[in-house]
Amino acid sequence: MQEDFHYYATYCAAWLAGYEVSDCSRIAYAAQLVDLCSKTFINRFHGPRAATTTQLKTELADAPTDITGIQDITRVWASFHFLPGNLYAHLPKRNRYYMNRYRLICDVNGTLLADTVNLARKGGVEACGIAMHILADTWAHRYFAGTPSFVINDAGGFYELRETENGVERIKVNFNHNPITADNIEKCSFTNCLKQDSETSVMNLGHGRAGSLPDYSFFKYEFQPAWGDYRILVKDNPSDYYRAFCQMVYAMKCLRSGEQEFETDTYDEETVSPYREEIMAILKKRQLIANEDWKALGEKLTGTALEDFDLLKYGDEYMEAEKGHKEKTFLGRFFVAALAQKSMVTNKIFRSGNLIAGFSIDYGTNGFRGIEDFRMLLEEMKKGAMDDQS
Amino acid sequence: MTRARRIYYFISGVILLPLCVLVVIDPKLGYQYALLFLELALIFHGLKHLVYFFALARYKTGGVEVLFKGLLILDAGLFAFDLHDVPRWYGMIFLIGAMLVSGAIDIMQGAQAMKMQSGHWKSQLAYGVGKAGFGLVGFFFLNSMRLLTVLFALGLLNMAVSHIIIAFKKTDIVYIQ
Repeated sequence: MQEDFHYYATYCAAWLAGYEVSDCSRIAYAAQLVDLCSKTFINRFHGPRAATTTQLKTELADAPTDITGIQDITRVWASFHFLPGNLYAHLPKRNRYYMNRYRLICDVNGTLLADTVNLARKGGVEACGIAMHILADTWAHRYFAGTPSFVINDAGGFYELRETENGVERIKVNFNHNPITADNIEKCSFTNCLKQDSETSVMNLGHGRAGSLPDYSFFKYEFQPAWGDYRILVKDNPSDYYRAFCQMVYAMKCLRSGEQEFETDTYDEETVSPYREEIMAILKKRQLIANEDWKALGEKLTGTALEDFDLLKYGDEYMEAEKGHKEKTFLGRFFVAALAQKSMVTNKIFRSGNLIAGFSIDYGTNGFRGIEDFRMLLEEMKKGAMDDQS
Repeated sequence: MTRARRIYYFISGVILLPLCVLVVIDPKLGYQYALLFLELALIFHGLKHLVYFFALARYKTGGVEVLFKGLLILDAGLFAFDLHDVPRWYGMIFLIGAMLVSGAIDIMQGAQAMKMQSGHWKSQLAYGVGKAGFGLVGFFFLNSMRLLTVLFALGLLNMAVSHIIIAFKKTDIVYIQ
């Protein structure tokens, strides 16, 4: 998904879930920041580098793809952009090496999604924004895994299923590999990653082989995923994105109430239904990015002007805060929430017997042996526990 | 490109550099080493593909192409082993043929990259034309062993320099999030 959904649509969903306008802005900002909080961004503010929620192209270009490099990549992409749907999935006659990759395929309504939303309950609006990004991405990025894998993430046979006056037209999708070429909707020409039959090439990370198709809300298409045993899958983005929106409203209502447990496969269609036609019109409009349309809806809903996303909006607040108080700033809370999410997902993957995301130990039984940066999370957890007791 | 791949390119480039000098100074010995290098590289690549197929790619849609690729490369490597015992002339044909095929593949990839508007298609195409050119000229002068040796050494030099350049070159990544 792109800025249109992560920032503007999340803002609309937060308002429909009952948040104040200022909180809606912070939730939307946090949701969008997940796509931009790279190591480079964190270094700028001398923040904890383990809190990275994405990797830039330049960072990926130099990222080692040995065992520890793959673990690092997987922790970032599986935790924030390709949340695994079923860590205990079973397929007959498949070996462990294959299943470890297969089980990282992102899908909607997995138990990890419930864990993600329920974890965000402890982290305020910043954690809520992170959780909404992850939730929304499960709908957009389903069928691809957040680890470099040729046998999982390669894909072919792409056809757009375009609705016309004469019914549904099946149009072949043409791909090129030039990153500076803009996608052309009318010619059905898009950019994707080169085919590399090296299992761990970063070209085989996520939905690179499908280009930006999963990120365009209007696009409905069919394709053959590498893991699908020659089956053809149909991906209906407008329908999926609408479900994502309704699920976000429900999830944020749960978080706002503070008591209601989030359950998967539940959607607040009742709250969204008055705006259904308007939302579907935005989702089905053939355009590369729908920022303006979502922004207009957000402003109409709240009756307040919505400012555009500014990456450095909360930078000064974090930099000017004294040591020990940084964790109370927006960015500080975002970093802690990101560390908590990454820690939780890595732990769940590890406990499922899968080492692709690396080792993870439970602090409660083993003490602290993790990455230094995670001490920040630990301190915050301790404070939280003391606050709870008091 | 992975770090292991860069190390592989660098080491192979460094090995190839003295080899092309040896081919010119002592054609007989240089030829034997060049053949051995090619055999080992082909066998290693072939086996790597086969292991990958049986471990993972056999479950992939269209994964059988990895098996065919592995078998073809391994077969070519094993075939090259037999060339130590036949007159050098045949071995040279094989080596020059390998260069020609490799050049043709580079040209095809370069053309495909150009068609798909991918960056660096010019260098890939030029590299392929260079390799295929050496191969073609070699086939026209099959009677002159000395000329074949020099051409072959030039081909090796081209490959060595290219490998070292590739090892240090920044690679473009297209990643869509």
